[in-house]
Amino acid sequence: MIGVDLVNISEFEQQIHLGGKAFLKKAFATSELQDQRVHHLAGLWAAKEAVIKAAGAAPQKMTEIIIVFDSSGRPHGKFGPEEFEISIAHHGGYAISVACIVKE
Amino acid sequence: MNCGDFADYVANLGTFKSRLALSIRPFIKTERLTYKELQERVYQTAHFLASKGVGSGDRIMIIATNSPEWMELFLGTQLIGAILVTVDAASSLATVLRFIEETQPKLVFRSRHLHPDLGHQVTTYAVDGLRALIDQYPRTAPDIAINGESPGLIVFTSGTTADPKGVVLTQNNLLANISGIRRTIDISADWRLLSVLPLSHMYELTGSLAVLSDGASIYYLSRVTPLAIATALREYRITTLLAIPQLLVLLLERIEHTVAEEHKAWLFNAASKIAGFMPFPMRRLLYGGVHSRLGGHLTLIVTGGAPIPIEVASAWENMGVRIVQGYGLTETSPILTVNGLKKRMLNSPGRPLFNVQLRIADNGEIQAKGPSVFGGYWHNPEATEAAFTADGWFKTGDVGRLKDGWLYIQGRLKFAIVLSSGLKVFPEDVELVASKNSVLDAVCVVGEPQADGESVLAVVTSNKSDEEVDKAIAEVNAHLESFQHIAKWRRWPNGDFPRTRLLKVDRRRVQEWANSSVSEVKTKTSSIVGKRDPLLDVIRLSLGKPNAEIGEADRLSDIGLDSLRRLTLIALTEEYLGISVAEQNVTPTTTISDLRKLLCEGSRTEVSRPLPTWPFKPWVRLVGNGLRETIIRALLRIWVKMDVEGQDNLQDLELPAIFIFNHTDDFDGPVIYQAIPHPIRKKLAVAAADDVLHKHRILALVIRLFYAGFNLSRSEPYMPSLEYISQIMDDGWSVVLSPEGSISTNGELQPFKSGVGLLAVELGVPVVPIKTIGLCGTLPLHAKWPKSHSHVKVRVGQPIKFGNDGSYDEVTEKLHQRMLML
Repeated sequence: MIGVDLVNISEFEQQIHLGGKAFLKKAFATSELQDQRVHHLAGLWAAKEAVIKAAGAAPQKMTEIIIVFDSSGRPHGKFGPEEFEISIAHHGGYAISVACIVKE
Repeated sequence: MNCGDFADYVANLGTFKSRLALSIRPFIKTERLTYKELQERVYQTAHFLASKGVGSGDRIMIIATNSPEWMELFLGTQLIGAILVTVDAASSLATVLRFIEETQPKLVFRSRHLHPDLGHQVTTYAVDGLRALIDQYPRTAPDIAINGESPGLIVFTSGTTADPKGVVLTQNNLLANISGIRRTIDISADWRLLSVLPLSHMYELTGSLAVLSDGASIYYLSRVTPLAIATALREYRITTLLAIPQLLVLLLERIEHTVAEEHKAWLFNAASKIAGFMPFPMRRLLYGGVHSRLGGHLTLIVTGGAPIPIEVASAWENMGVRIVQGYGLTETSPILTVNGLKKRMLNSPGRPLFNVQLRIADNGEIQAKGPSVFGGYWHNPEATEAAFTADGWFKTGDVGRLKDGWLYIQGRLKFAIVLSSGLKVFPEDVELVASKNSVLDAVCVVGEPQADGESVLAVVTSNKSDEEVDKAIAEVNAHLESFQHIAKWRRWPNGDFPRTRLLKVDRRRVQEWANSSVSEVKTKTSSIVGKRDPLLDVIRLSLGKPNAEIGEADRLSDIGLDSLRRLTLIALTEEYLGISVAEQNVTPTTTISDLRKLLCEGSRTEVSRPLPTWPFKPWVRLVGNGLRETIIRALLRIWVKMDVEGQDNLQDLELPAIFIFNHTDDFDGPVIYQAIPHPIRKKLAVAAADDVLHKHRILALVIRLFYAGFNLSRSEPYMPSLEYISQIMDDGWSVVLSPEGSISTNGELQPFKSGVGLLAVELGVPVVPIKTIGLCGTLPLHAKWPKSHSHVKVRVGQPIKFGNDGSYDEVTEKLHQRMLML
């Protein structure tokens, strides 16, 4: 199954400013907060939403979905026992991400 | 320091060298600017601005929240003789565009999250990107001649509905005011000020400049929320606050609420009876519990912007916090009168500054003259002319009297209600009496035009019935002079009153509404602080729509809360309402009334318990260290024979550093401690498991006393602990901690918790691995006395420093490897 999501980066930035640290900690795991550039976080959020759609199930907490980058910078998603292939792009003030469940 | 120009001011900053000037914490790491660094940044900013073609008399606009960069921009602008136009960060785009049109700024600086579309009309820069912009410019004073008489600041008063007027202030205006303030108030370099009010208002700006001219420190908040203020007061051990009465009322309510919750109300009330007779230090001791929540160091609050109710001021004074009131207007830079630290009156905003002259006109109006009074409004000769008398005195528009040099204010001239009898009623007097009535939430008294004068009309907000309000009004009238009696009352139709940025009721708009026949009113500002519905206020905040109509049966998806905004809403309810709600319960189909139920059932947000600071006090350390070096060392020698290798690795160690060790025994803390050379030991703090410290109180005391121990949470939400570590390391303390989190039962190294990677990367300090071999078994987990006399090898590894581009997990892993290989 696949999923996709599109995020308006400046709207996302507003949410970060409004919700502050409490918001960041609910949305992202500590390892995901390494790079705090807004467009990057917006891309991560889009990736998580894409994973939710690909998985066909919502998590209890957004932090159950973890996006990690391998040594070549390629993102992968993990949600429960399932793995997802992910791709993220940024352009024109938007971040977009596609997720696809990895079947053995 | 005499009033020269800002070149002298900035030069003077350098004399405070390495004292902390400004500080802000965006995420975990605190950014600290010393005075020398601030001075250099200001010079660099000046060079940068000049290189962009900004010259004498040109305008630069800033629309940003408070931060060190804001100050750097302000001072940098002064150094090139340019004018800074300050715009409140909460302004709408329409307002901002209007100000841009009026002042034609060459450059606009904004906070990253504000008005992103502005870049099309004018050259815009992000304020938080200032560091990068000024980087290659020289750190020395620019060679530009400036004149103290030239304008340096334009601040607009009033919102868009009334004609905003741009108050133009010269460098001399500001410097004269600073000089006047310093003459009356003894500012000490030891002050730690928390900056809560916006710098775009004169009160905060002049206050900050005055404090900086004496070498004190200012702490900024990246977001001003009740939780952030409460946390900052404690973490930064704030001594001084510039506040508005509304904030003091709120804080007081919070304190009283917490006291009631902890069932200490009787103690609190008993204390209030005797506090008035005690000297200040004793009062602070008496209210020790309250003070530790406020950081333990809050001794002074300066208040202005509106009069403070005497009961509120007295309550604070009783608790040992001095309340110093002041009065002034934007047009007067702003302070006209202020109380002194020693000579204070709670019912007067003080005496005029030494360089301010005040007189009372025939109609009772307070008029002012002096070097800190402005010269005129920007491009508005009519308004400028109307603001001064024929003989050049500025008309404040406030009515008052002077007695023995002290000013007493009665009210605003234009809102005074003139009855047909010719008698004047000041709304402020009536509102003061009304504020004591619990049925009425807030009251705004305005004049209602009659045939030959005005009558007294009270506009009220209340959630009680009409009959109850009727009774309340009668009750209020019973306490007023007959001519002051409220003739009629009406209910404000829409939530809380519209308020100005500094939370004063916007009287003019209430008056407009009352005098027109239109009953519908659009509230521009939504006050989180108002006693109306806090949940709806928070929802409106998360939507960015202060006027949104929200019904109880509305589903969250109906009102526009997508998954992103729902998460923000949950974060906001934690910060503003103090209640944690589980994410999974807040779905697109949750209705407002469902949400209310959830809030009732939700748990109180965990406010970080104030961590004890006494272990870090110098005299405590003297005693603790002394005892440790003698007694503990002796004990250690008896039970353990230590063989330490690798201490020379620490010869060139940059302090502070993080020492990590393998946890094999309860007793390994003291062993590790002794393995570290004495000079470092003097300022070394040990992280002890949170749950252990709470269970074993005596052990906790011992650890704190001897080893400057502090709590480290073992479970996942250990962010508060990490922030605490970051803070004590900022103070120069090195830290000892065990990344495994618990004792290894078999002696083998367990996986490290990821927090250590985060600390290493974020703080950029060296990490030293220390391994003990053979310690296992001296004091197993639950035995009370050490078992055997053991021979322990201690290996001190090479310090390793990580760049701030490493991944936390990778660093944690690397450290684990290092430890294994040691």
